[in-house]
Amino acid sequence: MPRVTRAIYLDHNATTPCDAGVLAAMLPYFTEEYGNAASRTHAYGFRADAAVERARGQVAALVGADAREIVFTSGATEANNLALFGAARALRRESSGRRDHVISCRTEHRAVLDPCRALEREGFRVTLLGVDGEGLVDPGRLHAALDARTALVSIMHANNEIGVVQPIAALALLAAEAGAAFHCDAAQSAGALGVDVTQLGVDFLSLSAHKLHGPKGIGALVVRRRSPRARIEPILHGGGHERGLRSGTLPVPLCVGFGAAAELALAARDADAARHTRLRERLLARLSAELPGIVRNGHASQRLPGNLNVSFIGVEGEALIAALPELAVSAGSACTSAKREPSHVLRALGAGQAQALSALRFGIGRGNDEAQIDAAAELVIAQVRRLRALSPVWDDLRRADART
Amino acid sequence: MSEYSAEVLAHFRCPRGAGRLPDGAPGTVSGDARDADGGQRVRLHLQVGADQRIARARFQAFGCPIAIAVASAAVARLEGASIAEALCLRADELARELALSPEQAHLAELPLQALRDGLAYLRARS
Repeated sequence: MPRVTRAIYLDHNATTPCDAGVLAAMLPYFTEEYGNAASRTHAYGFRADAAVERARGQVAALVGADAREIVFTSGATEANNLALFGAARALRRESSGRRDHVISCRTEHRAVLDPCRALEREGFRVTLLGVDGEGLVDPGRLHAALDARTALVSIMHANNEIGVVQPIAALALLAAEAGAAFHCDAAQSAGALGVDVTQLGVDFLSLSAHKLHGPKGIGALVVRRRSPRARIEPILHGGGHERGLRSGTLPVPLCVGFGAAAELALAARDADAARHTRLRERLLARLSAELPGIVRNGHASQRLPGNLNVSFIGVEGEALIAALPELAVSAGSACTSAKREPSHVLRALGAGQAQALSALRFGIGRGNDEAQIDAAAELVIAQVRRLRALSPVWDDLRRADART
Repeated sequence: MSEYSAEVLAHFRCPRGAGRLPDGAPGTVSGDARDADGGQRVRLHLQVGADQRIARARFQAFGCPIAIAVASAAVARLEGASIAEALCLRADELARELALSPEQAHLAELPLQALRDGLAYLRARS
C-alpha cells in the first residue's frame, strides 16, 4: 500500500477548510482590532462592534433574513439547543402549560435528538416522525402528529449523513396552521442550496460557519422578528449580549470570518452546486459501472449537491475506510464512527443492518476536482473487490444469485 | 488509524488463507460465528484428513479490520494442526499475537467459535 502524506478530502459534510480570504479577514481582529464589541466607551469597542454588525448583515443576507434576526452562537449544536429548549420552554410558559408537545424526526442530528430527549425529562411530550425509504418526511405524517398542544416542530433542512433535503416549506406551513413554532437545522444546506427563511416559512433556523468554509466555533440561530410564534427564552444567562438571547462576549474574529464565509458562499453557491452535483454523479457512475451490489442511500435528486452515501453490500464500512488511507471519508456520520453502531439515519430509512453497516459517506466540496473523484473511485473499486473476495456475506449473496 | 495495531493492519492488508476451499473436496467442512448483533462474522473452511489433521484452512470474514485480522491469524495457526491442537488454541493467544486492546480482545473468540462450529458439524457428519 503506497505511503500517502495527504489523503483526498471527501468529508465536506463533516467540515470544510477555512477559506484563505476568510482567514485573512479574521486575522486583524486577533491582533490590532482586539476590542470587545460590547465596549461602548472607546473606539476599540466601536470598531469591533461595527465589524460584528457587518458580519451579522452578511450572515443574514445568506438566508434572506434581517440582520436583527441573527443570534450568534458557538455553532449549530448550540443554536439547536437554544431553539429547542428556548422555544419549547417559552411557548409552554406563555401558553400556561397548554403547549407541551414537541415534534421532530428520527433522522435528525444528535444535536436535536438529544435535546428532545432532555425535554422529555422536563415533562414535554415528544413525537419523532419516521421517514420513507428515501429519507423524506411525509407532510401527512406531520399533519397527523400536530395537535393543539404542539409547541414546536424541529425538522432539519438537509441531512448530514445522507444529504436528503426535506420539504421544509410544506412542513412549516402545517406547523403554522396548528399554531406551533417551526425550527429548522440548516447547518448542512446553508451555502450549498438556496435557503431563504421567508420562503421556507420557518421561525428559527440554525447555521454553522465551518460547514461553509468559515471558522469552527461559531454559528447562529435566526429568530424571526415578524412571527408571533418565534417566542424564545435564553439558555445562557449573563451579560445580556445578543439582545439577551445569548450572553457571552462575542468572538469578534469568528463573527467576521462567518460573515466573510457567508458572503463568499452566497456568491459561489450556484456554481458550486452545479459542479458538486456533476462530481457526485460522476463518482456514482464510476462506482456503479464497476461494482454490482451498491445502493445509494437517500433520495436520488432531493439531496445536497455534494453528498453521496452508498452501501457497498458485503463490505463493512469501517473495514473499507481502514483499507482506504488515501481517502478521507466517513462511515455513517462522524459521530457514529467513534461508537461503532449502525447509523440511526440509515436504520430509520428501513435499511437492514448489513446495508447500514456497509455505508460510506462521500462529501464533495470546493477543493475537489474530476481527477480526485476518478482516483477516489478507482481506489474504492479496488478495495471493495478485495474485501468482497473474503466476505462471507458477499459469497452467500453471489451463490444465492447463481442458484436462481 | 491508531485504534488498529500494526499486527492487525499487517493481517488486514495481506490476509493469509482468505477465501474458500474448492466445493466438494473430500473432508471439507465450514463453520460460522458472528457476534451478538451480527455486525462481525467469521467463517472458516477446513479440510481434515484421515489423520485428523487440518490439511488446509481458509477464512471468510465480514466486519472491522480486527475481525478480518483474527480470522487470518487463526487460519495461519490452524493449517497443519491436529484437531486436538486446534481445539487448544485460545483467544487470548490470538489477541496477544495481534496486540489487541482489552476492548478488542473479544473479537478473537470469533474464529475459535467458527472452528468449533465446523468441527461439530464434521463430527455429526461422520
